[in-house]
Amino acid sequence: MTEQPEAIASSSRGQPGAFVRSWRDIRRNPLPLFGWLLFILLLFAALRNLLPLGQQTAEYSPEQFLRQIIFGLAQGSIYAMLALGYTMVYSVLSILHFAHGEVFMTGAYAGYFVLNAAARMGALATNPLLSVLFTLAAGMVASVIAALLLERFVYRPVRDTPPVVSLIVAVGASLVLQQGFIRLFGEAARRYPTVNLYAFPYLFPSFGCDASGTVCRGIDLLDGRYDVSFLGFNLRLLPIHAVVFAAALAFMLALWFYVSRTSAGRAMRAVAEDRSVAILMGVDANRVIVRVFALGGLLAGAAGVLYAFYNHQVSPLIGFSPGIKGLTAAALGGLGNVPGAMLGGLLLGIVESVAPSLLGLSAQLKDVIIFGILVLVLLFRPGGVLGESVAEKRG
Amino acid sequence: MIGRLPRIAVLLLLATLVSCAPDAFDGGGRMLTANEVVIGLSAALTGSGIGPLGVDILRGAELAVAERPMLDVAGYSFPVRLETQDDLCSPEGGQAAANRFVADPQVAAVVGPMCSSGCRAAAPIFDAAGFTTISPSCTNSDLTSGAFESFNRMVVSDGVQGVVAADYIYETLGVTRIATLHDGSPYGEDLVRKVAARFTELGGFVVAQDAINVGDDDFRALLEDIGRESPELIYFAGFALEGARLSEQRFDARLERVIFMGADGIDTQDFIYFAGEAADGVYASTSIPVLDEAFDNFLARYVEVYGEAPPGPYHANAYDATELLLDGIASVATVTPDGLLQVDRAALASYVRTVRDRQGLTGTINALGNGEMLATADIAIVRVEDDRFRQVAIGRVRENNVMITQVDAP
Amino acid sequence: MNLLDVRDLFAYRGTVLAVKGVSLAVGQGEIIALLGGNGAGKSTLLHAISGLIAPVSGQVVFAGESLLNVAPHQRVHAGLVLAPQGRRIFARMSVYENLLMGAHGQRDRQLIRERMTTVVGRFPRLGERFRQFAGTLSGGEQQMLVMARALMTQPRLLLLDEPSLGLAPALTHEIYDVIRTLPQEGISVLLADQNSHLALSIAGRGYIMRNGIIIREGNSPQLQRDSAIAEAFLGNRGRPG
Ligand SMILES: Nc1ncnc2c1ncn2[C@@H]1O[C@H](COP(=O)(O)OP(=O)(O)O)[C@@H](O)[C@H]1O
Ligand SMILES: [Mg+2]
Repeated sequence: MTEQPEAIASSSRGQPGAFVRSWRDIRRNPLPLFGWLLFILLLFAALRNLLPLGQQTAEYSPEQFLRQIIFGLAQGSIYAMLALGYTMVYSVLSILHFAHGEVFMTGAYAGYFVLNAAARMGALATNPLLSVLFTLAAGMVASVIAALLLERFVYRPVRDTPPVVSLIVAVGASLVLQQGFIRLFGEAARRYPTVNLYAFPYLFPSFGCDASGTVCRGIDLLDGRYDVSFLGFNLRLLPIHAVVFAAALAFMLALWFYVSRTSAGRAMRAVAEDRSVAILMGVDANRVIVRVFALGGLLAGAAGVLYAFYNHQVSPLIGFSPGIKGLTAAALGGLGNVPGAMLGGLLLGIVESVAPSLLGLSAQLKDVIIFGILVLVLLFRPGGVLGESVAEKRG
Repeated sequence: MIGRLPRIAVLLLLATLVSCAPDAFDGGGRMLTANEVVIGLSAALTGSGIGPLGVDILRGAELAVAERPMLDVAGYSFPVRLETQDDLCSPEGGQAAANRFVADPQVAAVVGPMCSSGCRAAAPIFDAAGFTTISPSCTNSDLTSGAFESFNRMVVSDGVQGVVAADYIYETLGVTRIATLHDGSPYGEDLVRKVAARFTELGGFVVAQDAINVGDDDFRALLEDIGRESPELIYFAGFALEGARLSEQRFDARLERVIFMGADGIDTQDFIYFAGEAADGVYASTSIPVLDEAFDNFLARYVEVYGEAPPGPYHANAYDATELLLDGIASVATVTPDGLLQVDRAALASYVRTVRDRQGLTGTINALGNGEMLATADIAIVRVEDDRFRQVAIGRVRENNVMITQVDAP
Repeated sequence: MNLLDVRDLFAYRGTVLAVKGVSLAVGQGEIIALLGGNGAGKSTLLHAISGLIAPVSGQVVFAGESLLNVAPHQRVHAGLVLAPQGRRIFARMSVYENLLMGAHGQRDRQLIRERMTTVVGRFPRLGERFRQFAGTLSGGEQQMLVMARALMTQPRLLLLDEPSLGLAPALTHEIYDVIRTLPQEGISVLLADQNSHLALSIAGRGYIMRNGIIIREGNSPQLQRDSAIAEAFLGNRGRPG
């Protein structure tokens, strides 16, 4: 019998656990990605020009486009942080962590209690930085706990059952969490207290000055709005946009480093590719899976708190929409792909923000547009935008 | 993954279908026999931004019942009781509540549902069972176009509210360019249509029209889009949560100078809480009771019993609706030889639809025969000042004429 | 004392009872052949020994300790490792990372480097492909990587499942040459293979399995002599080699 190196090599493509490889793929050949972006934009433009949509008459200017992209990036960063969790869980367990949106909501809620307590005690006014850090920490811890409980009592018992079982169980768990929060804390939404956290007085010497104009505290990181002229564009910039985006980017890079450069990350990729063999090499697969859930929870918790700082309202129901969007983003980026999840999230946020105006459609239809794109991508590129086009899995 | 997604889609689809399937019910007895007077109350008692509206309705009805704990019919005395169902301010919720009421052999008539979507979904069920309902708050103007026998409302149709709002915007605020938004509910859609029609008729321009989804959180891009038409005012027909977000996110989209106006859906303390500082200066239109001594007494009792000012605008409407139903029952009911209360549902329905010149807290009640009970009530324009909605003007509609009187700040 | 003692082991593969009362022993420094045709139960037996499959009954004693309550990933640290059948490399990792996986849990970088040098010394081809994704290796190289990765754990007993399956004769010999030298490094081997001639040529003793039971055991010359009969009996033609 002779060897068939090609056949063997190609048959091992398209498995989950594509953490790093696709990143190198893009670096080596970014063309397909750009092609896709271009295609989507062209599609928008074409549709817009072809169809006499909407009744708006005023020009849709590049300035407006830019402003909407900034809004989209902020919301997309939230989706990206969630997508990272979905993608990691999927790559090690091949399940859709459907309750991830509720993990996110748990974090936002826990953060609310801490922040609200801080506001009541006056700590928020006297020591905003510490209050915000505690809020973030509380959100992250709560989400990690929620994620670990889900792993232990929901996903582990069904780990080796057909995917549809874990999916149903996950949907159930998500409802239980949501209803549990409603029973515990009521269905009523709550407003995140407004936080004025001033930062970078030296970087921004003319911002945040008091009445006399002598003491300047820098920019208001979470609640400020600043009108800026940039390359002839008049923009209103919100520092929170940068905060959310930077957080998403930092988490993604940290995660990417962890996954591709550390021994624990290598173990994670090993479990993702072939759990049995990973075990044979001495990897405690359970511990790896627990870690994945904990990491996903950590990101979801941070995302939850940041989301609440950005959008101000929390309720037991807030997890649903970002959850679905995060999952969509992960699918767009190719499930199992860390940079893909990030990119998918940002792309989704931007499309959601820009598409209704570009196409002249009602804002009501933005979800329809997004899920339409998801369907298209899955049809033509089942592995996601960044994934391989072959998506067969090793049996 | 590829193989799995469609399966998820199918699952979700199935779940949706199952949850939408209406319960079949083939009309109950046309003659009610009971040993007590049970008034059903269908309102959203939970839910952010809408719960307070429903609680306010419930309290109005409770106060009416508290005044008449027993109903006398032909020398017999029957206890009066409210039977409450949470209708979630949704079509499904309204349907479910209606199904429970028509299946309950004790319920004589119903106050509610609360939201136009629920009213529209519930009305066929009540129709089939021969029930009489009086909604204190379903304002969608189509509801009284003749399709429903069971539907009555003790509230001014959005036709009136929309007209007053449009007049106020154009005449008093001097605004000529507005953008309208609604939340996709029949209430929102209809109200926006009414406002836009009247505003255009007056000579104003509706420069942008769009809708949002309930539960969406980020409206900044939408507001940015609206902004390029440079409206002077954004009119939003929907409820408090989305209203608060829109009002707040205006500031992120450079629309802080644009006036934000809603309707009775955002006329709650909730709105002010959620919108924070962005609630300042927000307008709303809302139907109001006649300001007289009877109403003052009612309000005093309300505050005394519940320890707070009404969290929503419909307490008096609910009170009047309950009162009217109790009067109707007292007048058409008979007593069986074995001492049971008997109500001919058809007689009750016709009693409600033929009421004339009855003085209520909400105004003079005149049934038009199509379900409208209040054609001439007043609409107040309220505005947030110091974290409270305060009346700034009162509008009256007589035929097609609108009279707006400014209210001086107290 | 034997390094590995398997006593009266029963194990399921899915719903099939694939190992039905197997006993075998591997002594220190021995290469033991485990022969048998396709579906005989060899892989199932090796999985049960390595802990991937929990046996329904029986004993697995390694270096004098029962392994029944030792988690599969801990058996590696005790010195028992399985190089599974079918080139199960981590295709999305580089060759280097695959080898590092063999040293998982080892914190001493110096030690890892030493082991790596030894292992790559045994398989020079892998050294040439160090940074390449394992998925791009040829079949023979992948098989080598599976073995090399297992050797990175510095086992006392290496369970090898069909290392020659689907390989060209030249590569098979290359691999067998490595296996032959393992006992000198203190590594005992339990070698499952369908190619009985080849396996017996390096093993001291062997077992022949069929339908989940051991039907014959003995030293290699004995089994060699029987092998013609055995092969006819097993319906296994073997492969040229
Ligand atoms: N994945 C599986 N699920 C169920 N049964 C299996 C599976 N793989 C193999 N078997 C069955 O288990 C028995 C033993 O198989 P195996 O241990 O792989 O034999 P060998 O390694 O000797 O070829 C055979 O009867 C085979 O059909
Ligand atoms: Mg085998």
